Formats: sequence, structure tokens, C-alpha cells
Amino acid sequence: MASRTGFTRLFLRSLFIQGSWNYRGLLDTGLEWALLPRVEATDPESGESAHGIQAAEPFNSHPYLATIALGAVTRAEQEGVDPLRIRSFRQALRSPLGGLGDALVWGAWRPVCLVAAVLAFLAGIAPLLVIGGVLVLYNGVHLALRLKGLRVGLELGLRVATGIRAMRLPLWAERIRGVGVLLVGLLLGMLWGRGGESLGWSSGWLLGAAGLVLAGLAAGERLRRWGPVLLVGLVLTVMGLSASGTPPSATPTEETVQLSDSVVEERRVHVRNQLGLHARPAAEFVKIAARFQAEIHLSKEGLTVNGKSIMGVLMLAAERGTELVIRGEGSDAAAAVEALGGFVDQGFRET
Amino acid sequence: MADPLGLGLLLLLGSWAALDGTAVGQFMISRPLVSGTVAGWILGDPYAGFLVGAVLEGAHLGGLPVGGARLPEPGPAAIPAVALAIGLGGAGGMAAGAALGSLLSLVGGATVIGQRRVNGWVMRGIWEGKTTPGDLAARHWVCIALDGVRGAGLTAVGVGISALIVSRIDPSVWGLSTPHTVALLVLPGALSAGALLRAWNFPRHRRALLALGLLGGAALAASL
Repeated sequence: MASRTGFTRLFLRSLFIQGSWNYRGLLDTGLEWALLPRVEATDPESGESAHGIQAAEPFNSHPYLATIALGAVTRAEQEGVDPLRIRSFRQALRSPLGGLGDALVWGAWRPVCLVAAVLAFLAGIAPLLVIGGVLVLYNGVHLALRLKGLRVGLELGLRVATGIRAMRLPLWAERIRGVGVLLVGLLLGMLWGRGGESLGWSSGWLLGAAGLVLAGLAAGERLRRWGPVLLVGLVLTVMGLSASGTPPSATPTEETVQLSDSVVEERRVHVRNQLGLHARPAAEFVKIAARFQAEIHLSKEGLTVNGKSIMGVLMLAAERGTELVIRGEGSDAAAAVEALGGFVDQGFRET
Repeated sequence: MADPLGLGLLLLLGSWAALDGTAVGQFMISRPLVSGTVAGWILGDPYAGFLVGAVLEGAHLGGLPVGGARLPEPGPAAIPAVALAIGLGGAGGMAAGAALGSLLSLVGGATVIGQRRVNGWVMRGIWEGKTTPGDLAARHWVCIALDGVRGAGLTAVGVGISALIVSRIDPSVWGLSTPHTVALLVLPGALSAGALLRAWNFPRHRRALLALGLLGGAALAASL
């Protein structure tokens, strides 16, 4: 077994193992670099030892599970196993460590954490808090996987396959995917709910989004790399239509909506609190606005959003000192603007 | 767009995001949601950073780096995307930022392929014969350093393009309102979500979970 210092060195080196990843040997040079301490201990100048540098054949692994190979090879070399047998063993580990890690981490744990982060933001948690929380959650599991893999490898050496089975990685991947389906459902439900409120339930946008979800479901792997291309295409299309003077949407924007027989009330206010219009006051603002029948619009430097939409209010990103215009349209517009203006004037009731 | 200190921090962040995605750690700093939010914080608007990062995350969420496959690299690209969104402001800024980020992520993905070819060239001596531990370590660190420079370079070019666009384009020409812009930018995320669900397999009990989530999400949207 490796000493405590040896264990720490192997663990820290595992963080850099992908540093020289290349198309010829894949991770082989990284693995050899991570294993260098055992060669240096023998002869720092020549590197001559019973187990010299063996970057001769491609090796690959998911980076988090590469610690299993690091530990197992170290243990086997300490036990004096024939180098040719160790080389075969490295080859045998290549597929399982790649497949298991990709399915568990890239295919399940990481997307689930990212979806959870967006849900937390939509629930009103401040972005930096969301990002800090999700990094702690994600990397807690990440580092635990690296440490567990190294321990299992060092304990079992060439018998590490039994240890890998005992980690039950496919089962965990399956469970995380189940949670992921629920979270993706929650996210889509929240976005559709918000979209329905902001755009109208009969809007073609919602149908388009539903159609794209179904297209992704039907096509799977074939379409999932097309997200960025679609994003660029959509934005460029709208830019082109805007530049040519053709209205890109038949739906009127907030600025052009007019309600007949309604009272219109407008008030200019300034953001007074230190943190600006962040998540908590934005959620409170939306709650107050929702108590009134009147349509509420909030403007900052010419940008107008729906005052009853948390996404819209947050998008204004109004800092301390920003001037906002609260505009109400409807029978109780005066009372609504009065209540909302008072809320802003009070610094969102933050001390 | 940013003072010299802010610009320096953005380049460091870009370098870290590139390294995190390819060479060092894989702590998720390379995801656009994370790098975008941190870039927004550096530029004084973490909300805008999170929103642009979330749009890019949605567009890229379906791509899984299985084996040695390389995909677009959205981590460093999110930084100029956020700089552009904040620089132009409003719905038009957000749309332009997201589009620039997506384009740069495709360029970034191509440079990752180039970096890995360069790594092979730097490490060639290792396969050609006997090498010393010091030589192997030096070559390994050179590869990591080059990758860090690649990330900083990509970010610098992207921020430069952002600054140029901010100085040349009037964001008021954007023809969609804020809610419609958000709807537009969420559409690629809808495609990715469907593809992700397909990748997770979809037996009957999972369909029930999805339905439960959809109803719960709609209820949450109404209550928040």
C-alpha cells in the first residue's frame, strides 16, 4: 500500500492526468506522468527501474475514474507483478473506466446538477449563491469518486474488477438519470408556465418549443449537437428580419399594447438598496404586482418588461441608483403603482 | 467594457475554463452557466451572466463528451458572450451575446482538436524511445501551459469582437420584445432537453416521472 504522502501525491496528480491528452496515446502519457513518483524514487536521472516509463500503447479512462488505474498499477508494481502483465491489465481497464465514467458523470450527474442550478435560480435564489452551491454539490461527488477509486485500486491491485463492481456505478447512474427526468420535467413545466403567462397560452412559441422537445426525443443523438447551430440560426434570422423592417413577430410588444377604457398610471422611482433589484426583491415585486388586476410594466433605460414575470424583472438587472419606470394599465392601476412605487422607495424593505 | 483589472480577470477565467474542460481538474468551471455567471460578476452584473450562461448551457446540454469525442467548447466562449450582452444591454444584447457565444464555442471546439494534435507532437519523443522522468514531466507541463494560453487567447479574441460589436451596432434594432427574446433563446434548450431525455432511456415509469415534473413545474411557475 502507498504511504499517506504517496496517496496524496497520486490523488493530486490525478487532477492533471488529462494535461497531455492526444490522439496517438490518448491518456497514456498523462498516466505515466501521474505514476512518475515511483520511477523518480528509483533513479531521478535515468528513470531506470523495474517499472520504467511505459507509454507505449493507448490508454484511456474517464478522468475521475483514472485513479482506479493509478492505484491498481501502483499496487501491482509494488507487488512485483510482471510489467507485460501490467501492460495487458491497463489495456483491459480502458473500456470499462471510460464507459462507466462517461455514463455516470458526463451523462447523468453533471446535467442533473446544471438543471438543478437553473431551477434554483428560477425559484429566486441569487445567481452567485446558485453557482457556489452547485459547484460544492457536484465536486463533492466528483472528489469522492476520485478518492474512492484510488483507495479501491491501491487495495486490490490487479483484482480491482471486483472493487469496481462493488462501487455499483451503473446503478447510481440509473438512479441519477431518474432524478434527472423529474428535474427536466420541472424545468420544462416552469418555463412553459412562465411562457404561457408572458406570451399567451395559444402562442406559437410554446408549440414550437414543445415540437423541439419532441424532435429531440425522437432523434436523440443525431440532433443533440445542433443546439448551438440552431441558436445562431434563430438569432441571425431575427436580426435579418429586424434589419429589413419586417416585424419578426405578429404579437405586439409590451410597448405597443394598448387597453381601451383603462386607467394608465406611471411613476419614476430609483433603486435605493445596496444590492439592487436582486432575486428576493424581484420575487417580492412580482408578488405585489400579482395582487392587482392591472397590467404592470417595468422599464429601465428603454427596456420594458412584464412586471408580473420574475424572469422579466430579473432581466432588468437594476443596480443601486438605477431609475425605473413603473407603468400600470387597468382599473386598479393607481393603487398598484402606488404599492409598487412605495416598495421600491423603501429600498425593497432591506436594511 | 471592462477596466484593465477586469479584463485581466476575464482572461484568467477564460484560461481556467479552457483548462478545466480539457486538461486540469474538470471541476465544472468550464460549463457556460458557471463561467458566464462569474464573468457577469466580474463585469458587475451576475444576473445577466447567469441568464446568458443558462441559454448557452441549454443549447450545449445535449452534447456529451463520450470517449475522446470533442464538441463545441462553450466555457471560454460564454465570457465574451456575457461581455457583449452587458455591453449592448437589453433583449437585443442578450440575443447577440448568446449568438456570439455559440459561434465562439464552435471555434473553441476546433481549437481543442488542434491542441490535442499539438500535444501529440510535444509528446512524440515519449513513444520514440527512452525518456527520463524529467523530460516526460516537462513535456506534460508544456501541454498544460499551451492549453491555458489557448483559453486566454480565445477569450481575448472574443472580448475584442464583443467590444467591436458594442461600438458598431445599435441594439435597439432588435425587433423582439424581452419575453419573445427569452422564448427564442430557450428554443435550442428545448431540443437539447428532448435529446437528453432520449439519452437517459425512457421506460414507462420515467414517462410518469416526467409528467409529474411537468405538472409540478407548471404549479411552481404559477406560485412563484
